[in-house]
Amino acid sequence: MKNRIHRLLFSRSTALALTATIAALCLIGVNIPQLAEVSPQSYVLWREGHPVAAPVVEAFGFHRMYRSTIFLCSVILLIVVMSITLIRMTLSVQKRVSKNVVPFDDKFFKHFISFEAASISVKDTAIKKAGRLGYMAKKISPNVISFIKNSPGGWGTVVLHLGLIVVMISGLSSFLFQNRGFIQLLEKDTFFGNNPDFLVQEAGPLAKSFEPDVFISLQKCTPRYYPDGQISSLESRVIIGSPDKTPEPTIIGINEPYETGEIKIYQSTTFGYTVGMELKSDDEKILAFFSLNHPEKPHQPFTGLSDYPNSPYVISMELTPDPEQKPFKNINPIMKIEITEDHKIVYTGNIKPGDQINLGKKSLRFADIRRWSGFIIKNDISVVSIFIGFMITLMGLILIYFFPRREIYMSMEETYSGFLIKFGGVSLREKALFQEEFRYLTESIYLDEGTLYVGAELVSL
Amino acid sequence: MKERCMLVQNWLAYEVILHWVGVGFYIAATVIFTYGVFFKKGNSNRYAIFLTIAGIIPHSAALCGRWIVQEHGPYMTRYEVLSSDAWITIVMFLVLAAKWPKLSSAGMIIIPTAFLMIALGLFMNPSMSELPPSLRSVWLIMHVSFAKMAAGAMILALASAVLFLLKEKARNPIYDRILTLEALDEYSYKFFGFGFIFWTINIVAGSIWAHQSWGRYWAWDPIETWSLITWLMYGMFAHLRVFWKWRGRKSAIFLTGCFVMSMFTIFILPFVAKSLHSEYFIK
Repeated sequence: MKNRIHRLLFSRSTALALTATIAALCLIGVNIPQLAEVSPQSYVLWREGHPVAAPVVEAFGFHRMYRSTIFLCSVILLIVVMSITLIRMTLSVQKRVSKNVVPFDDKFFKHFISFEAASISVKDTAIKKAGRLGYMAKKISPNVISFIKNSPGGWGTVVLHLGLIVVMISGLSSFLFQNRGFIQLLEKDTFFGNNPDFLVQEAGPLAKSFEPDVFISLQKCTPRYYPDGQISSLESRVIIGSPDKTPEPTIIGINEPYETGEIKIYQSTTFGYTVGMELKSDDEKILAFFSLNHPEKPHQPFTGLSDYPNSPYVISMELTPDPEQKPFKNINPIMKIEITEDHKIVYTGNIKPGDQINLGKKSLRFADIRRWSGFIIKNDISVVSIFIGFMITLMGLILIYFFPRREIYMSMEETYSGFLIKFGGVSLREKALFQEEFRYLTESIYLDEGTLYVGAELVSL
Repeated sequence: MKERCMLVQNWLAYEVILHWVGVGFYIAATVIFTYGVFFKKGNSNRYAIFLTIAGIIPHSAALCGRWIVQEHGPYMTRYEVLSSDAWITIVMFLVLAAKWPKLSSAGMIIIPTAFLMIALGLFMNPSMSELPPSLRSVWLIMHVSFAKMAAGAMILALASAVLFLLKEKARNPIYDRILTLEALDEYSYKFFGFGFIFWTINIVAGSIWAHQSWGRYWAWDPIETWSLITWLMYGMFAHLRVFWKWRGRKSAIFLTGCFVMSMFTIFILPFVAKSLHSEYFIK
């Protein structure tokens, strides 16, 4: 039983089967709406549209595939199998590299040629010609020389698999421990690192509650536009501080995150406007802020529809923040507003900041307009190791495909008429191309030094 | 603003003409490559290579001009993506044909694949688009360049695999001018190797860029996931070939499958799947 499990774990077939399983699970995952990616409503719609498939999908957890037990088990098992095969590969490469004695016959070498030469100078000719093709000569014994090309290439498979293991382990730990949160911050407003202030949070199953030790105060959010109205850049001027760092002003932009300790702060691609409306009556003033939705297309207004708190009014807003869109000019925001009371429109018109609308006994003032900016705050220490793993993987691939290790062995036996020269070649990859090179090398040595061809038919050069 | 619009409009007219001139040369090159293989004409491959070079000149001019006018590389619209992918495939083919002249017969498959990509692009909207802020990163250039090189290498691998299948099936003397079956098999694996490396770098660069832009290196976005599936398929192919000794026919068929999958990921998926990538691979 122990041997069977051992054999199973050692098996390349198991690794291949697990790889195929992961590919198949990804294929399923990409075709089924994932809860983490779609809105709950669209998932419910999908479930209603697939009454047969939905129970199966939910039973196996395929609707959150990349967090499902079957997916995670496959990945963990693959890591185990790959780690064991990595040890095997390392041992076998070491054994191959340190091999000293090679039996010289056409059974051992797939590429094999032998001929007779009159003088020992054949050795120098071989070293010279092989050197021109990039082979390094090494004396193994008095009668045997090895010529090796792309020596590190033999380690390519080991390096590649090591890199993949590092990536998978780091990815897994990132999944388990990462913390990522999104905040929406108004200009002149401050985030103090409190967990409930995150609008959206993603936390690994083993992650602690995310309370980053930073405060972020947004001074100004600046979007810039192309002439056609598309956004060209978005940056936020912020003041960031932490318990062990004095507050400092900085600018966070898209592709320009800010890092402090283990925390990284990213500028999100979302931003918008918040308008402050003040409802005044004889005895009280209520100031309420409304966040407006970002338009889908350039040149369209930011929109919002909301009840005014503690009042009978519903207000619909369409804000055009910069109607003229001319540089070096102050922006003059205009907001189209419609106020309804008991389904009756009581006011409709355009207002500017500071304008007041008379609503009988009450009045509504456009008191404030501010931009808000979205920030992503993240704590994931395994990112560095993932990128190191990526680099190791890449190095392994380059070693395998750009430096295929090739070995040619030459033995010399003294005979009564001169020397019997034998050449044997080994290549793990690109065997047909190696065969061509092997023939070219050995036949050109034969043409210079050989007297009698012993091997099979000689291919003309 | 008006001047820029005029410049863009004028350039678009020239660019379409340059593209069609390039396509004309590529069609002529394809005819000569095919003629050379089927009628054993000694110098035909050389003439076809000249025609391909003649085609790449207006093609390059069209892409360079577009790059200058729109102030970013050709990786935003379908039109420019298809054209630049075809360009990189042809350049890779020319480099390889210079190094291994025996491989030039593969032009019979590579050049028509490339000009069909350009022609398909020409039927799409050639308008230029501005670069969103998140795309202004050196990692994007790495990501896109290696995706294009991976596509190019995979087209070369496919050409070798298809030639292998044709030669093996037909056993006709007309295929004598092409490389031996063993060499074709070996070359298809070699180009697959290039493609695999480029695909890996493409994933790595994309991942670093995603981390820089959005604070996550992997989001299981549909295109990311398909890209991973394709990579896993390539990995399986490499293992089947090295450890299970898949050679010849089996290897060529599996490689063709991998090619179809990578082309699906690069060209078709961004248009049909709702993904971060489709946002940028627009109109």
